Amino acid sequence: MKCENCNEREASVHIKQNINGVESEQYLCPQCAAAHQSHYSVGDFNQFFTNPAFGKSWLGDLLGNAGMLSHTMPQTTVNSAAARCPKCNWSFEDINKTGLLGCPHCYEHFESSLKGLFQRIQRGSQHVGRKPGRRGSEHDNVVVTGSVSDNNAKYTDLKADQDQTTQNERETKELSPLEQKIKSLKEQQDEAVAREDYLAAARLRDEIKELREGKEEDQ
Amino acid sequence: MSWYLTCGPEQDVILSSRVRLARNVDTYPFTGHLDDQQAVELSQKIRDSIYAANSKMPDLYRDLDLTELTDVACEALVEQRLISEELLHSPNKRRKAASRVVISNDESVSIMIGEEDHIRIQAMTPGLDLQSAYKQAEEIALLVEERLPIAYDELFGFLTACPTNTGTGMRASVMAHLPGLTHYKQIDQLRRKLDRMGFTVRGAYGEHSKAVGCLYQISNQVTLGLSELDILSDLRSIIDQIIQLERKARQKMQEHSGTKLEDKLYRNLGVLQQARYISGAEALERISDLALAIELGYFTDLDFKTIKKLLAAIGAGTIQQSCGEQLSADQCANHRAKKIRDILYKEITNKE
Ligand SMILES: [Zn+2]
Ligand SMILES: [Zn+2]
Repeated sequence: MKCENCNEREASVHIKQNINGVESEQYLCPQCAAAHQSHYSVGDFNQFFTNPAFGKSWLGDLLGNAGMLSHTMPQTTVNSAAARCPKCNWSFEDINKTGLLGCPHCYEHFESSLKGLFQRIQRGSQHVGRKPGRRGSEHDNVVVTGSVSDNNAKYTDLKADQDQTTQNERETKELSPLEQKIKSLKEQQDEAVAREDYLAAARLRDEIKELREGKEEDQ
Repeated sequence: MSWYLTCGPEQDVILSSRVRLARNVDTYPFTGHLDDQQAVELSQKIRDSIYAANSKMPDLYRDLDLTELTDVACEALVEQRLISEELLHSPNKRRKAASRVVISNDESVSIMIGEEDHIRIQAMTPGLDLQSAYKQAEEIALLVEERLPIAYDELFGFLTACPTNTGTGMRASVMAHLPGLTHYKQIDQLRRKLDRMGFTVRGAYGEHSKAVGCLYQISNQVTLGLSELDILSDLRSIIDQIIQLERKARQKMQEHSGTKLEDKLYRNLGVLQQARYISGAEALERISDLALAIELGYFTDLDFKTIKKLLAAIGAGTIQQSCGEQLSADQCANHRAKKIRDILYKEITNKE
């Protein structure tokens, strides 16, 4: 039997749901089923985004205690292996309940649902930080200074520390043309990330990387 | 010397900076899903990977198995912020199997094994110095990343048990002393503003709403979609502005309440020098006022090192550990008062 949503892949997930007393059934492929699930969970996460403390399972606390899941979500019964991570047997409902994933593989397994979540609680779902085993190539030369990269949240009430500002200016003057080019690309990349244009951000990231690698070979 | 007894940049507002990095080993489920045997095995593997870095490691770090420590010793470690409550207890308040911590000699770096994530690397520096804290934490991260298969995904970055840490796995924070902004009731506004920008303001001690001793922890919320450097730069720029605001508020406070404030702060020193019984919360409030007095230039005999010594000495676990026995809350309050008197006496008379 084909998936009722995409009519392409083989349906292996049986979804029964009850919305305001009306029951419906669907047979979907794992991909469409995951998308279906994230469609219903994403909105809930949004309203619960408060202040997560490091290590606090706030998602779980809030969803669990408020019991909102059962109120706002259609009752969904998913009779399929796809509903659980094959490595740790954790379900997306378990993630909702506890605020925690079961194992690293959960990220791959619940990818589409998590992407929706990250759009709400993070700055998109594309990692732009350092990779394992590699030093963040920038920070050996770059001083952590005060330039807010977030466009929609400028804190303009007060000027930053005067000494710091002059230090920034000094550093800008000392940059070589290549470094200035990298700096300007970096700013463009930040802007692209801020407007969630990840394609542009990725292109700029590669461009920066190329320039940097060229720079290292020169030395 | 322990890092927390030394001073750093912008010490009058920022007591310390901290960077934490979360990492997990790919071939194991997250901590909550490990059985005891896996937990022991993994804990040993992580410890060995750190110690394998070079032959000097045993001289530079000490390794504590938390299952072997007394409750008081563990409490003292929590008070010194070397371990988290979470590392100590599973959700059912039982002491966790195979939890351990590796601590550098100056206690600026601690590596928690068996927290919510397999590995939580933490580096602390005095004053406002997020960059040094980050570099120290990254050095340790490199050690484990070179030796263990770390859970990492090209899309999502470092994979953590909680989706609020995914990506960089980094939480950067400062501990700020904000008596001026607290006095002018600016904290709620600041908290709302920073929340919109993806940063959190919390009381460093006590519950979320009530900050004891005007001490606040300011940290990033976003860990995915921004690089480590972007996050640190944004936090730094916000902190720079908060420092300016706080200094202005203090100046205004001094101009407006002149002699009354001076009187209050001198009496406060009197109480600290004479008290025979003082609770942890009262001690924090009074040490906070003492810090404000030093910041405003009232007691030239004392400096921020005094504040750091006092803050490090007043925890119930720390007091019991130094007494070498378990004490009731009353006994603790008594010992705490004595400890504070002793520190102030030595500092003022310069008898080290
Ligand atoms: Zn389909
Ligand atoms: Zn899993």
